[in-house]
Amino acid sequence: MPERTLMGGNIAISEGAILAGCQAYFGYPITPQNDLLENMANRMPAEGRVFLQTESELAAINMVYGAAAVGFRAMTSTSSPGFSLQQEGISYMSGAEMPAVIANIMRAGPGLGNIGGAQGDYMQCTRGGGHGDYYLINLAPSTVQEMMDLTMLAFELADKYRNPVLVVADGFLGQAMEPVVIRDRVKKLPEKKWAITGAKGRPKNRINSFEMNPIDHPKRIKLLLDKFEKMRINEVRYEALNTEDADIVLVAYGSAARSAISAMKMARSKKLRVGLIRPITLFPFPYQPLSDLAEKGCKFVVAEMSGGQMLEDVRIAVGNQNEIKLVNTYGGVPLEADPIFEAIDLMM
Amino acid sequence: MLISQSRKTNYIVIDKDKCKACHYCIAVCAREIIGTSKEINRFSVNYAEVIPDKAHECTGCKSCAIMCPDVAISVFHSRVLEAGTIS
Amino acid sequence: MADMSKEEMNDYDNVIFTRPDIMVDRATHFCPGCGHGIIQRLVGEALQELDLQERAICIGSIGCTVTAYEYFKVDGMEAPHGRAPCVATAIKRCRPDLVPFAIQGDGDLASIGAGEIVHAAARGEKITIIFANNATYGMTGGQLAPTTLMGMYTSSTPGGRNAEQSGWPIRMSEMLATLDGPAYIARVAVNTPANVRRAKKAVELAFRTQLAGLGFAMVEVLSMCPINWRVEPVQAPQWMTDNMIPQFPLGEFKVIPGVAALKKGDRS
Repeated sequence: MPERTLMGGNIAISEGAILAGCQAYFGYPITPQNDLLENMANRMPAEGRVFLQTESELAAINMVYGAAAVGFRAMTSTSSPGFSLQQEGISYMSGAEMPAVIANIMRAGPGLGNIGGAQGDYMQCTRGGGHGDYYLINLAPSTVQEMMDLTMLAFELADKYRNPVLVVADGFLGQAMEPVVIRDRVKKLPEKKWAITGAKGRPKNRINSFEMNPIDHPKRIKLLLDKFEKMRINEVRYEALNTEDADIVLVAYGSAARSAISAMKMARSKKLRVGLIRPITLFPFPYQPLSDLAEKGCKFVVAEMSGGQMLEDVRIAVGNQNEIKLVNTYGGVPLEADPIFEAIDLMM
Repeated sequence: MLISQSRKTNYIVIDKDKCKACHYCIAVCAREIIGTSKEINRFSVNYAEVIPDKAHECTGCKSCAIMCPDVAISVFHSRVLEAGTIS
Repeated sequence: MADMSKEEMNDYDNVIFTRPDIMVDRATHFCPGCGHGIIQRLVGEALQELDLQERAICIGSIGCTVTAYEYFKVDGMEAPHGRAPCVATAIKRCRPDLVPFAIQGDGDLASIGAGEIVHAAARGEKITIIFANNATYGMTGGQLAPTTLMGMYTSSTPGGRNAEQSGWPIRMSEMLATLDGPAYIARVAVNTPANVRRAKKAVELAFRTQLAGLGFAMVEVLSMCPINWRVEPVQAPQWMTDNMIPQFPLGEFKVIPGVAALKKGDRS
């Protein structure tokens, strides 16, 4: 009987990482994920693993780079302003094909913003985020159980593709307390022949993100682009609820999806045919199921805690012929079920 | 039994394909045994080379090699065999 | 002429100085007379003499050190601008058996990387940092560096560095030596054979400090950049003596007892 316990969202990420064999954690305090850092401070040394509170998020991401380079499963966590600081390091890691997990517990922006939860980093997370041609798989939990499970999946996908993976949550989810089934520990970590572990008995390894010869660099980028295409084909994850007969489809992720599910239930109780597509991967985005539903003539309500960022991906999927409405909050205000239901009601 | 004796000497070898003609070696050689070639190398510079008449004056101090940014200079002790006796 | 024994006769052609085997046999990308070439060789000599081929990790930074790892037959990686101390920190904490070292220029270490080096030093990270200080931004064409001298021409201070606009140069070695974390901090130069010999000792000691697990070690090496100093290479050593050394005095600024003992034990 697997162990089941009440756990906070941020803690679930932390414990999920430990279960997945995370060997090094580097982080910097920033609300609303300080408890993640603090849990790591207690747990990682107890597990015989590396923990360090760094001098900044800049330092943290660069330490993740070093740890990844020696073949360790490495992680950092932060919130939106710190995530901005980490873009250079993440770009380098993607260019150097390093696996890593970065958790962004989003808060309101831009700027200092607000410590309340938000989903305003969507564009930044799903379009690479830093400079250059790269993408990161974005995993978006919606429950505390998913905070744990998707963090564990993040480490697998990071190693599978040799690319950093984002766990994209928000401040509300980070603080939510829910029952969680503790998953089994990952027993065996993959071998990493490319790691710089000391050139003993083998040719030297080199980890970097450029080629001196201008002819070689485009070839290198082509390899990366092919890899991202594989992600698009193989790693799309989403949940579809009640979409078979839906007239209106809600599109929401993270905390917003929880409210959207409530709104959907309210609508269904009033015999309104409403369904939900909940992206679990924000990249690669589930364009296909939305596109299929658009062809059936559905209307769409995008519910997100931003000025309207995932809205653009829904538009790409759905096209011009179907009605798309945005229901949103921003600035750290939670998105509740009522405004979503009102939008459904108006649409009918 | 070979009859011979020897004396010690020193010499340097400059790798002309690494030299960038910075002249550090020339500047630090106390015996001034290094000059510049009339030929150019792949860097299109008149690379440093040992002046043949002065080669034997090398003291093996290694200053040239120590100063060379291109790691182009090797320094050797050598035994030159001449006629004599050995025990 | 003295007679010789048979043993002595066999003593032909001793190599008394050559490229260390641990260094790749190739020409450098550096300008004629660049101090980096000497500094790199000193690092190679230390790696060889301390037998670190299987354990050393060379971290290249941004600027003229960007391809540092191409010159040694050891594992290597890049670091973003200024972040080499972070990369080295993580490598050492994850794999204490490895020997990470970084070569950083004055822009990398003292400008964009100023925060990272201070904290790596303050935490006493057991890493080795070689800081090549040539008072300019070499790779990008000679702009202002944190160590640029007062009145010195740079391409971004064409009237010469003045305090009103750009403040004063930073003495990193002295500054970091005020922290409790460092075990060994020294400033040396590579402009004369005597200074190069002393620099070699400091570089070697910085590695031995890491091997003995004593703490953070940094050697600041004053380096020639004839191109951006706008002098002939052969004038650069004297330019350093006249201009840089008065601003950046040579010497040891932090030597903890454990490191002093290493020095004492080494009679060579």
